[in-house]
Amino acid sequence: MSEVAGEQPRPAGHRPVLQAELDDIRSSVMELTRQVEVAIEQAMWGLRERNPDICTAVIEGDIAINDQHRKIRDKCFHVVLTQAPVAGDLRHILGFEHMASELERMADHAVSIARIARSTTDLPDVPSSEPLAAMAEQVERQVRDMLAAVEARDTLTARDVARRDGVVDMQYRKIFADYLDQVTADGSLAARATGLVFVAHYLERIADRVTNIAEELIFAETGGLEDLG
Amino acid sequence: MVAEAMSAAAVVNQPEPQSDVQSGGLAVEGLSAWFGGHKVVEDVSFTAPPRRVTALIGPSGCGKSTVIRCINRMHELVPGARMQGRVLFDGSNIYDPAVDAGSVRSEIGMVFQRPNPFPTKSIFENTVIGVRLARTAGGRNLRDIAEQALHRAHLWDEVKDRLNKPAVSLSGGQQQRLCIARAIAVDPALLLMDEPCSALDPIATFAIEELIGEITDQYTVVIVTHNMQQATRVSHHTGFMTIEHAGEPGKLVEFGTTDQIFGAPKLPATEAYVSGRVG
Repeated sequence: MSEVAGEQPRPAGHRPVLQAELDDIRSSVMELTRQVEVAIEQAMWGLRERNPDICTAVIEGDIAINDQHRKIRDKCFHVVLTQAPVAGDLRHILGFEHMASELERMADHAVSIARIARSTTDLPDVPSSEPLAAMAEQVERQVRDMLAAVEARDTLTARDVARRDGVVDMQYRKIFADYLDQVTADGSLAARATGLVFVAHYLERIADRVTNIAEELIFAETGGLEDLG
Repeated sequence: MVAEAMSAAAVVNQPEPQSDVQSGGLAVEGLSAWFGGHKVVEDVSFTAPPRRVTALIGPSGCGKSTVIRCINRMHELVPGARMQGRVLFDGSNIYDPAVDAGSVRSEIGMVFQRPNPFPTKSIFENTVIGVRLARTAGGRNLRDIAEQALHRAHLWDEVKDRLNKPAVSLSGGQQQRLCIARAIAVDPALLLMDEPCSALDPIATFAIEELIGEITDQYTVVIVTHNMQQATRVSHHTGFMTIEHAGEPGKLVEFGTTDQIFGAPKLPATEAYVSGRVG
């Protein structure tokens, strides 16, 4: 892979302004990744702890995430408009812009989870919540590992993390079937269980977007379009 | 043998040389060129597909212009200049001893960096001068040939009422379109362009680019340009030439579709050049 131009560190050379703007976009995307990672973890924490304040913090924190996403889009637009980037520069800008959109949608899923968590704090728990907790742990790990791969520009790890999406899909199907059984047996669990099925659904969507980010990273670094989903 | 001289590993993405090039296609094989004892181009091979635009890009002095001047046998007009290798057009080697250089130049037209109409001649005479010299009218009316060529060059509407005015009365962009009309009036199969827009403003540049896009229904085009954005807009294939160290001859180091060269070049040297990091 070392001979692939896209994976070479790019010297600023004659383009110090372009390079500074690319570096700025990259650090803005990394900042957004940290915000989104925290939103997902806090949403699941609020659900586990039945803590409405934590849930509200996630919901209100989405404004800052949307704002960061908008800033990244503006910066990408500006650098395309003014610097006529090509090759690896152009791929990175397109890749960053797409990654930022995926991250913003992941945060929206975290907000949806927080809303469910906040509206179900007083409802009786379902008998078995361990599988959902395990799924959340798996998805959070997927998010953390992928964001580390983006930071390190590590396409091998990105592919590896994307491959683990199958585990999340299996967990989701199992949780869906389990909750259906529990609700069928005891109708009083329906409200909380329905909420938790949606939580599992949003977690599954977050993991899908992790895979999309892997595809964006591979495109940005190598120019290759791969379908990892 | 040419195939051996090519050293296949030297050029990334280089398609296999084709001995039976399609009609209107160009194949440059193992081309080296010298000015006196100084070698300026080494072992350049590429195929320009018919009715497509192939761009040659690279830093100043890398031998791009020399390569295209070898394609219509203009390089040999410079005292002390020589070349080695083969240039196949329509499958025939234009350097075959039996081939007349003058007939090659009437088949393979050239448009230069600066518009170079004959200043004392009229717009009409400039347009048909090649046809007169090469006697390629074949019984057709010169006025019809001029009108058709000027139409194709998008100049007719601007000059139809003053065909007898001197060519220098035109603007720079109009003069360049006149030079293109002059080149296509002889109905060449291949058109070479050496930075045809570098002396033009953006409007005239876009007019020429649009024209290049249109004439590929009939002609094969090889264009040398320093304008990266222009190469991405007008060409289908791009070759990147460079000089590794000062004083060495220029080489073609990567050749591919224009989308690949400007989207995901394989060599770091190509990436550094197209993204403006070096050169």
